[in-house]
Amino acid sequence: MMTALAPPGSRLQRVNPLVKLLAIVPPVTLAMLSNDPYLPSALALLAVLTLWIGGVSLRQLVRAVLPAAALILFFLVSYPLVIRRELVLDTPVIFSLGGLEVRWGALQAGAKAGLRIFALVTLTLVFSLTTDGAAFVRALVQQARLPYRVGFAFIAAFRFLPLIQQEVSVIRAAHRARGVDDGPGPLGLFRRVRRMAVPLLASAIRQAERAALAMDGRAFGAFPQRTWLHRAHFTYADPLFLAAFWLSVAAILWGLGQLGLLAPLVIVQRL
Amino acid sequence: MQNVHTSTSARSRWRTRELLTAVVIALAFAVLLVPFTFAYAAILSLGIFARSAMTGLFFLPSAFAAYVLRKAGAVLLVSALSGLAATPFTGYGPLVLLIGLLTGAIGELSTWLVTRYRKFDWPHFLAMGALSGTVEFVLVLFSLRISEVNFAAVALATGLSTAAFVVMSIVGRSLAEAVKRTGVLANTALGQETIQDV
Repeated sequence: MMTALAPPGSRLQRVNPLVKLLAIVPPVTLAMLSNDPYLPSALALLAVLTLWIGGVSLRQLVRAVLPAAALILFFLVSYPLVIRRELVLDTPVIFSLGGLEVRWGALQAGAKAGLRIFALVTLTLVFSLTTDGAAFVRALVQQARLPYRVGFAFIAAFRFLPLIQQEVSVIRAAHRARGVDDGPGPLGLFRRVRRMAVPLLASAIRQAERAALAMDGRAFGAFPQRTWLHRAHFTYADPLFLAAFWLSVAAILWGLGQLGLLAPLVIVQRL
Repeated sequence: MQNVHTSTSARSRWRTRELLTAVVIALAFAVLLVPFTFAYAAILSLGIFARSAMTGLFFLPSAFAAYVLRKAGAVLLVSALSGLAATPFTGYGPLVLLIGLLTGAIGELSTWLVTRYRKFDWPHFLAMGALSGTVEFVLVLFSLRISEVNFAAVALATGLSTAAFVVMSIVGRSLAEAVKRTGVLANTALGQETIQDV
């Protein structure tokens, strides 16, 4: 799978995908419910450290994390425009532009929301940057009892992707040969997508029909179980990783609590 | 009784043809929407309203799949696969997959509630889109802390989100009708319905 960036055989690649998925559930939940900037920041830092120790290079890490960091900027910009005024009226004005006053409280709320989303993204990277798609599907089918027909649909998606990309090039070349010019800019892009949608979908569905006939011809799905070339296993590394990751999360909670930096989690929101 | 049970399970069972059709629908939309997925962060920076209008675009694969396949799980499967396939092409990693899963789960629930996988006329289909847009935005609000955002902004953004999902339902259905005219959907639920009508 193209999303797996960690080199094959690296520490995190060796951990069972289901264990990695299980490992990120508690910190992701904590990040979602957090109400201060410290908890999501610490969890994001833990995720980045885990990825680095797990074999993802610093360059790859920066490339993966930067777009998520841009989201913090989005929240900083947009929150002062939409926040309820009465919540931030007692905080100092940072600057005013026409009728718009940007207050310290609004920026703080924006930063908290942005850091929350940033933490969510970086924590899920622990799974997605280090997990081979086929290995994940194998684990889902063999260990989590996902029906193998559905599992194969996911594996087939990765096999079909290059074919679809090639089809896009063919359709684009055909349009160019007919002298079609969609024009520049977003409007041109919209026209191009609209023009390509029908031929691309028609051709892709034709390919799917042919592949389905071939698979049915080889008795795909005829039996409740099937054989596998690769088996998914749990190893000694799985509980070790799970324990280390969860203990680190617990240490963050304890540490922030001791320093008085941990705000109560928001479980029920009042309107 | 045995016969009834068998026919129900046969109807809900996915054939290989339907599974692979769902896969390629998801992939085709993932490839078509990649430029828009790239622009997502830039549009997010324009604020909560731009986000509301933009997210509707990711409902397009769900609307198309719901109308063509008319099967339990089709919307969720197509939306999840679409997000999964778009993940390697964008810098947002699993965020795209999460959006796909969220949009798919909401679309699936709305399809079941409104159409029961049987009624796909315009009013039901548009109601399905509207319900999906409203629920999606309400869920997103929880991650933004609904109590912090002023009421007028919430109402306007919810309205925008609902409208965007309705527009995408119209586009999805119209696109499905256009693809149907090429004859490739003859073996899908949509194609079979046309054959029965004839």
